[in-house]
Amino acid sequence: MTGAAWADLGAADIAEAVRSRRVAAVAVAEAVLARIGERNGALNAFTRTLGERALAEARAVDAKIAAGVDPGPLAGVPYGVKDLFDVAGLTTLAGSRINADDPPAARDAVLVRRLASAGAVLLGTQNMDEYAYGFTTENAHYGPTRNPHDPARVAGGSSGGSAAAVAAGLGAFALGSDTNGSIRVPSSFCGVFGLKPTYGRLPCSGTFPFVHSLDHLGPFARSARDLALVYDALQGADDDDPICTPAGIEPATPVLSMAGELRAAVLDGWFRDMAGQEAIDAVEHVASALGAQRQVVLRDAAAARSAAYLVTATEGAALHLQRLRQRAGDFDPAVRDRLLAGALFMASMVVRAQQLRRRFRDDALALFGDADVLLAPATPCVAPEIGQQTIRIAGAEWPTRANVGVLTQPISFIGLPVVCVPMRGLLPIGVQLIGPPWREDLVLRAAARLEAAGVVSAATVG
Amino acid sequence: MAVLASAVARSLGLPIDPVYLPGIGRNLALLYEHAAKLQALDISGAQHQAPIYRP
Repeated sequence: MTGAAWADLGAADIAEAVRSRRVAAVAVAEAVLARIGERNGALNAFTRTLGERALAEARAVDAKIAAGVDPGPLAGVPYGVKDLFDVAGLTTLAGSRINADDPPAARDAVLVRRLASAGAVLLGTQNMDEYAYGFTTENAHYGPTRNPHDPARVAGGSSGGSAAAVAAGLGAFALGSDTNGSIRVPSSFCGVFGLKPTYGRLPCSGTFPFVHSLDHLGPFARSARDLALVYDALQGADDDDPICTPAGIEPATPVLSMAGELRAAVLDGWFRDMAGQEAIDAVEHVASALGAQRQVVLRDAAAARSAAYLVTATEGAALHLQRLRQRAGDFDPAVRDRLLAGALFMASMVVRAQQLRRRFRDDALALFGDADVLLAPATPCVAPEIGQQTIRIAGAEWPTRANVGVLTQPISFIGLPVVCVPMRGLLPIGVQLIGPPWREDLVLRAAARLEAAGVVSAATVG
Repeated sequence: MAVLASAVARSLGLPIDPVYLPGIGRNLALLYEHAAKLQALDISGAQHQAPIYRP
């Protein structure tokens, strides 16, 4: 196998090859770093590459293997992180110009430390919407990330650099964050698998926040198996994150191909009304493959989306109040205006949004009495063009940047676990597989089953 | 509304650069559109709690 071919392999295959000494971790790292050198200029997926660190981590893996020490389940697997994860020695930019004046991080984010323990090799940091407030990764300071399937189109956001990198083979997986859809939207547009775990499953320590009560972290990969493998390496309690569950690790990899019925139902109402034909077709294809006969309605999904919008604007504004006071002119103007409006908005409606949240959650949980997995489109349409101001949904034009996540927002609002699976066409589009709380195993199993049946898939593009 | 927003902005120490006003106005209008959807619901008796699940 040539050096370049190693860069096309997934995480599980690379780890197996490295552990069995068929390839050195250093050779894999060199191959992927070379590919980043060739392709990143056109895609703008990575904001900073860490060649020396990657090679040092890869050498350490090879040394462990030579010494007969277990190098971990992700031995030599190269990956990148969204630019809001702390990386020791780098300033955590979070897609902003303002943070560039901050001191470098003293140590890695907890999830990066866990991946290092598992033998993974960090390649660099990846582009995003400023402060994660957007769905397109058209960053005013660092430029847009381009979609590997069509460079004239957006990669989605806010974790657009991470999804584009995985789609283009610039790493076997990546870490992103999802507050309102920021893993699922770019996963849909770039045609890769994405996992947003249950709210509180993975610790956020050492990451730059957006909306504490909505923030989730999770991985992108090119297969369900890789997604599960990475997710398992990320799990575990963390005393530094009060939201992270103290429950033990519940590995998904061992149950990924488990037989048994998976009861699936399709979310109707808002999730169909706000979807274009390609999104509806994708859901029907997945539903057919999973034998989903029933359609169910989640009451008040439109209001839940509105409530998520209000919580995001106001809580995000509270987080950035000092920056808005002192450096308003250094924000991306679109982000600044949204945050300033959030700062001026009335608190009574935010309380009302939180009240709806509890009731909406209870309604959603009731649906899982008759279903293990709920299906919904991830995005209303395929990736829009860069600079496209509006998208057409339900016969009307909507501002692109704020509305690409209309179908993801109600779900993250109540913290349910979701795998976004990629349907391949002229341009990819994703379907959300939504599970009950703490049942990432169910949605990963459904994803693996769809992949084994050839219904969904992701491959390196370009 | 503009007078109220200006007063709130001043009390928070936020900049009121005239260049920002159209964008702030557009976004405030959007927030009130979303708020109107919540106003239409009967959720007065609902608990106010973020969905933190207990495993």
